[in-house]
Amino acid sequence: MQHYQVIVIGNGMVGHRFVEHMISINKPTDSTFSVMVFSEEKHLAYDRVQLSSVFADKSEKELTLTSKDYYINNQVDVSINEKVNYIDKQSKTITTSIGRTFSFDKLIMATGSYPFVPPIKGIHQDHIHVYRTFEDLRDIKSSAAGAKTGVVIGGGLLGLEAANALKQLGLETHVVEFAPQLMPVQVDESGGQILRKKIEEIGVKVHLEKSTSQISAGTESRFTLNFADQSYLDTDVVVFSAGIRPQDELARQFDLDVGERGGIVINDFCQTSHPDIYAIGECALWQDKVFGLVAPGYQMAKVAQTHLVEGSASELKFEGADMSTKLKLLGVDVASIGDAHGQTKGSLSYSFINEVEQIYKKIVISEDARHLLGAVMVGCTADYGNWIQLYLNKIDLPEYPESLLVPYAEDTGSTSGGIEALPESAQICACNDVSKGQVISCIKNGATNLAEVKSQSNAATGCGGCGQLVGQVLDAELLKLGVEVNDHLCEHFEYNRTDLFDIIRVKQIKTFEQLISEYGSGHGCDLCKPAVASILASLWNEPVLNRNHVSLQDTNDAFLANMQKNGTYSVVPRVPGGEITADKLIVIGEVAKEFNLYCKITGGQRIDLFGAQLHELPLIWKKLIDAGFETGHAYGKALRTVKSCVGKTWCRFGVQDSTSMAILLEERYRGIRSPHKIKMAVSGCARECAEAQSKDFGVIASEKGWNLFVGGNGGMRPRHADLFATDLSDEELIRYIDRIMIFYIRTAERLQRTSVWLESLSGGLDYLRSVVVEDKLSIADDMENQMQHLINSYKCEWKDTIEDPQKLKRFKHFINSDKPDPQVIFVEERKQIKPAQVEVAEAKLTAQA
Amino acid sequence: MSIRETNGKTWVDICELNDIEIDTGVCAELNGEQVAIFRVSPDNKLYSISNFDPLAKVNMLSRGIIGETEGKRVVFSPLYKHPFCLETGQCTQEGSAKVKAYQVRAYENRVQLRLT
Ligand code: SRM
Ligand SMILES: Cc1cc2nc3c(=O)[nH]c(=O)nc-3n(C[C@H](O)[C@H](O)[C@H](O)COP(=O)(O)OP(=O)(O)OC[C@H]3O[C@@H](n4cnc5c(N)ncnc54)[C@H](O)[C@@H]3O)c2cc1C
Ligand code: SF4
Ligand code: FES
Repeated sequence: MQHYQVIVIGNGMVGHRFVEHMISINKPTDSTFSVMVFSEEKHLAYDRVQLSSVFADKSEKELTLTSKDYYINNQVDVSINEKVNYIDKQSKTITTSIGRTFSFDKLIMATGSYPFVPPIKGIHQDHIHVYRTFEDLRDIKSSAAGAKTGVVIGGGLLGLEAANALKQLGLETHVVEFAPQLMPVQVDESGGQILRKKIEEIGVKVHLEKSTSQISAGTESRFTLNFADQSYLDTDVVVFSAGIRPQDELARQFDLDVGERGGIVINDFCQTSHPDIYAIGECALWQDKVFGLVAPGYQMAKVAQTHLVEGSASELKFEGADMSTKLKLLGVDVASIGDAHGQTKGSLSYSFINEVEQIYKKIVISEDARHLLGAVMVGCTADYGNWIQLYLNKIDLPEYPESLLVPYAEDTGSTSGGIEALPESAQICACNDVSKGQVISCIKNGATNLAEVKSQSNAATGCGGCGQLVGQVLDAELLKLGVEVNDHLCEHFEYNRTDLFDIIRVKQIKTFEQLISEYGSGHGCDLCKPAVASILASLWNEPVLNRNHVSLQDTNDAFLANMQKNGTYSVVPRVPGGEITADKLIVIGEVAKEFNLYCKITGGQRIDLFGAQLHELPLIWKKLIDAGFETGHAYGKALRTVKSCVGKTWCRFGVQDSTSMAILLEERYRGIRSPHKIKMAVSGCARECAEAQSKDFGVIASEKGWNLFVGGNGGMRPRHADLFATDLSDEELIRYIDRIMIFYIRTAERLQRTSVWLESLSGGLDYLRSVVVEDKLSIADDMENQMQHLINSYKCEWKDTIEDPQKLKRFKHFINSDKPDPQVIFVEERKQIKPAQVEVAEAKLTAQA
Repeated sequence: MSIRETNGKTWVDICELNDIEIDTGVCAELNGEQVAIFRVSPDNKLYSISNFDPLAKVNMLSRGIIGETEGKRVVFSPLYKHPFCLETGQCTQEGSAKVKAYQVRAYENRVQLRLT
């Protein structure tokens, strides 16, 4: 008989997590434990939580959590499709369904749970299913072929998930629930009503207070479901989702303690009534509770593994878990926190119903009105993040607790006061399990803004729901560290960019000098000068190299070209929409050849020429302009490119002329200075070859016109753009872009891309729509006038420069000689130039000397 | 290169004062060295330090933006934005980086550097 130190029964999510913990300690030490795992299923562990996604966009393979190879390579033996049938506590052995016997030192039961199917006549037939495993889903899929209707019995969380699956399979879907409401465990009656309305709106039929008495053969369909009240329902497919039961069969048979209503009894270390046998996950019963979620199971896996390895020295205990949940079912947002039903003695509740938008919210508070005990949300779960913190950390409620229920309350002060009250252990980001303490340590490590906290801790990089909380912690901590949390532009101006923008606009200020003497102090710096230069350009649009403005420009704007690492520059002519004639391509080639420039096709559908020296820039641009090119503003915080696809002119799928639209947009918005660069793209159909959804403004053709997306970003923190409006005509599209762009220019912070701006705009996308579409602030005309002024006053900056001898004076390396910089040295790579390494350059120079 | 002697010092004539836009810099060649010269408001004061940024290892300090930090007039190097004190050539951020400072003056509307 083979002996293992550890045998694990069940390879579900929790059993697998346990094995991973074993592997992680096995690795570095020599004292490896011998581990054997049995799985009754034909697969190793997979992500059951995501099970339904095999009906949507995932394959079974993508849900798989591990592989046989991985186990074997880590010295874990494993057998699938082999059930453990027998446990002998005395001899410490187990026997399997194929008659093999093994002995163990420690046994882990991770047998999970099974779907409960009520004893109804007629349930043992084809096309009647449960919803728990890959096999179940495959069977449901094949039953659905050729079927018309499907019924889910059970209107709880899983039942609704199953209903969604049936709907996706194209069946007319019904949900039958025994209780008088849907999701009776998580939400209360009123919440259930709203939920029902919303679900019926999307075409799922709900039948409440029905108990199925028999399933008989149908006439038109496969079956007739007969209910106790004599009513009936015809259907082709039935899925039972009437609750789960802990899989405690082995414990019952072999005398381990089980609970009255099932579940293998465990102590705080996850030991069963036999100290060498542990139970973890959904099969375990702790303090009379079974936990039907994966996170508590994972905690148990850690506790059991630690205890198994460290023995009585182990201090890690299972301490229960919060069962609050937030999810989207059939497209409806639902959340439940703590005591949703108000069962705590003396508890009080407040509720809010918005019949127009079908939103229901309830809070349950303690008798003394100080703490949040529970909550229900249906239709909108935006408050979940704040409320769960109030609940978990027992934070004092505001004086009028009902103020929590008022949506979009202006005063968020109550929760930011709450931030201070949060203990460091409080979880701030649920998606990535980041605590307040971890956020604070990022700040101690030097993070001073949200982006840095995100990249250091992963907080707010999942669903994003905790972004505001993280921001509040950040501000509070910076204050504590004595970092002045103000949004002043710099030490020279006690205003933020938006304030300065308004001052300059209203007071018609035309120069930096005037602004700093009236509204600032000192002489300015590398932060305020370019920021003010940008505002002046956004408003008055005078050429940036004009005498009044030239000294304010940042590196690239200062010489209308991007400075490269060796002090030379790049040249990027505009190629609107990426469309270019052969003649123009030839000109670019000739210029590149004449000045020996490095050529590269950019990510923005145009050509970049590198290695131009300061004195060469005007000569190069003269040739380009003569050939009909203009500057591409690759150097400016301004419109960069409008990428396009070939669209319906060439492409067999195109539904609109995306190239013409891209050119129109690029020529309309070229040269407009903004808080940061702006990128756009236009795709000719939903295949999206121009990648418009990664742009600040993305336009995607629809059958009827254009869909406008805003706030996309590639780069450092990619963000998909949000859909702003659909099926727009050319005029509407342009009007909306005009307004959004000006609103962005007026209200964004310095160097804030539209993605971050949109995220920080209070009221978000809806607010932006109200300003742009409904003109809530009555500024639309004014914004359009500003845009029109910018368009009318556009000049190619390079053309303006080469025609102005005063401006040209600066394009020389030496003011007192015509020589170029002798220390700029190139070497060759792949038949083109590249900057020589500093050492090579020095060696070459010495050789020349 | 035209050279003038005043008070026993040798000043080299570089350019017209108006060749330098206010609050910008230019680079001059002085005896094979690259020298940055800045004309700074409000009183049109001239400063001069080496044109070579020892951190970026490129000759381009003359093309930086002029500003002030902690009360010192500085030029922010164009590539990585290190500030160099216009008076002393000391980098105010990286203590180890310092460039040579030169003597510069406006003489009858001409900019002149002192030969060292
Ligand atoms: C040349 C090019 C790379 C290439 O070889 O293809 C490029 C080169 C530079 N990029 Fe880029 N980016 C180029 C396309 C992109 C793209 C792709 C695109 O536009 O489709 C992205 C991601 C999309 C986006 O911006 O959302 C991109 C994201 C960035 C970022 C990060 C921006 C962000 O918000 O995350 C920076 C840094 C910044 O702007 O602060 C940056 C900055 C730069 C700068 C300007 C850095 C600098 O200051 O020297 C580079 C100098 C260009 C030059 O010297 O001419 N570049 N850069 C591409 C020029 C496109 C053009 O025709 O104008
Ligand atoms: C559709 C669906 C959606 C869900 N959504 C969520 C969600 O959003 N969030 C959440 O937290 N949880 C969700 N859950 C619950 C979550 O999947 C479970 O909590 C988790 O899978 C429990 O893990 P486990 O390892 O304890 O049990 P299981 O994953 O059930 O694994 C137990 C394994 O042991 C095997 N087994 C049993 N007896 C034996 C034996 N005698 N011999 C050998 N093998 C045996 C079983 O076949 C099974 O493979 C969902 C579940 C389903 C079905
Ligand atoms: S986005 Fe559509 S129209 Fe444009 S190239 Fe791709 S498939 Fe063709
Ligand atoms: S809770 Fe932080 S990203 Fe989802």
